[in-house]
Amino acid sequence: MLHIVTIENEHLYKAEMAQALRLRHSVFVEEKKWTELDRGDGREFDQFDTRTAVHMLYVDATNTVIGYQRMLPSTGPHLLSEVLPFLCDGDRPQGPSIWEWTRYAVSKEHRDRGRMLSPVGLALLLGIVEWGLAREIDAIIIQMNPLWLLRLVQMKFKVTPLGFPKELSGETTIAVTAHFNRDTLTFLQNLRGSEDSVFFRHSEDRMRA
Amino acid sequence: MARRPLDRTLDFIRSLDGAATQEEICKKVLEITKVFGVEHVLAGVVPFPGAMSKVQRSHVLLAAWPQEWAVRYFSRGYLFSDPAIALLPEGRSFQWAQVDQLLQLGPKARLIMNEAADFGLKQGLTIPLIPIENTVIGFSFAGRNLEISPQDQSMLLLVASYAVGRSIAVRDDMENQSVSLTTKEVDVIKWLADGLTRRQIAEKMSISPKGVDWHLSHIRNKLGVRTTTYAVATAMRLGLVT
Repeated sequence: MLHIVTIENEHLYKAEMAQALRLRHSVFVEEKKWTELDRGDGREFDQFDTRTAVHMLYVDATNTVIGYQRMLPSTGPHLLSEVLPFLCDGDRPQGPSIWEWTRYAVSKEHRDRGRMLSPVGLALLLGIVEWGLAREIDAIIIQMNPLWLLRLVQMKFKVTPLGFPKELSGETTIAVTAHFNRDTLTFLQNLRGSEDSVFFRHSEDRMRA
Repeated sequence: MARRPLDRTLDFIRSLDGAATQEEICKKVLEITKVFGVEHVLAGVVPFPGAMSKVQRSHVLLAAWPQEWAVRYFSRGYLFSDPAIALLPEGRSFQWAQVDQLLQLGPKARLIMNEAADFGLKQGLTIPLIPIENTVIGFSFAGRNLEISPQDQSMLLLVASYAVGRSIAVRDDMENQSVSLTTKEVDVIKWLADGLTRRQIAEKMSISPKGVDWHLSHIRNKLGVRTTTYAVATAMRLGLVT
C-alpha cells in the first residue's frame, strides 16, 4: 500500500522515511552510480527534500519500504529549474497544477519481471494519478529514458517533449510533461485489475493523529 | 523550413490524434521524415522464433514497405535471420551500416541485407521500443539515401514512439469494433454510466446482484478488459452504447 508523507505527518513515519532514504541510496548511488549524491551515510537526500516535498512510500505487509517516489511543486525550486534546465528547450512548465516526479525507485526484488511493469511500479504510477486528480493536479514533469515514452502514451498520459533527449552521465534523458485525467486512472486500474485505491486507507487518519 | 525541429515534432505529435487508420499514421510519419531521405517505414512486434508467416504479418503495426519485399521476407522466414531484428533486444537504436561492427554476420544475414538493398531498402535506422506488454517493437526507417544526424535520430525516436502509441490504440479499437453486446448488456453499461449501483441495476432487471455480476463478467471478457469502469469507457468510446 502507498503512504503519503509530508511535513504534516512525517513525525509519524520516522522509521519508514529512514528506510526510504536508504532505498534511494541503494538505487541511485549504488546501482545507478550517481556518486555526487553520496553523503557517506547510506542515506540519500538532497536540497529538494524540503517542507514542500511530497513523499510516496510503498510499504509492504512486513512494514518494509519497497517503492518510493517524490513529488515537487513546479512553483518552487525543482530539478528542471535548478539542475537540468538544459533539458527544456522553450518555456518551462510551471503552475500549481504541475508537479515534478523524481526519485522513482523500486527495490531490486520487486522490479519488472522481464519487461512487464511490476505491481509496485504500477501502484506508484497509480498513486500519482489518484493523488493528482484529488488535488486538481493534472500534469507531471518527468526526466526519464525516452524508452518510457511509448509506455506512458499507452497508459493514456498526454506526453509532450520539452526538448530532444540528451546524454546525461551515460544515460539518454528526455524531459517531458505528462498530462493525465480520468482516462489515465481507468486505464491504469484496468492494468492493475482493481478499482480500489492504492493508498493506505488510514493514511489521512494518521495525518490527523 | 525555418521552423525548429522540436516544433515540427510537436506538430506531428498533435496531428496524430486525428489519425484514425494505420495508413494515415504512416503517411504522417513519411511526411515528417522525408527530409532525411526516408522512403519506407515498418513497425512491428517481434514474434516468437519460428512463427508462421501469417502470424509474423499480424504483428505488423505500421507498414509503408515495398510489397514484393514484404512477401519475400515473411514467406522465406527472413525475420528470424535478420540482423536488425537480432539487435532489437539490446535496447539501442542503430543504423544498418553499423550492423557489421555490432554483429558477426552469417551468410544468410548478408544475403538478407543485400537483397533488401535491391528493393530500395539500402540504408536504414532501426529503433527498439518497449510497450507495456512483455515484448519489443522494432521501428525501421529506410531509403536509398538516408542522412540522419544524431539530433535527427532523437527526433526519429520521438516520431517512432508516438506513431506506435497511436497505432496500438487504433489497432485495439479495430479489434474491439467487431464486438457486439446483447440488448441486456447494453442496458447494464448504460445504467452503470448513469451511476447506478449493482443493486439498483439488479432491481431494474428483476435479477439478483450476482446475475448482474454474471453480465458484467461477460462484457469484460468480450471487450478483453479487467475492470468494470474500463469496460464502460471502452464500450462508450467504440459507440457500442449511445
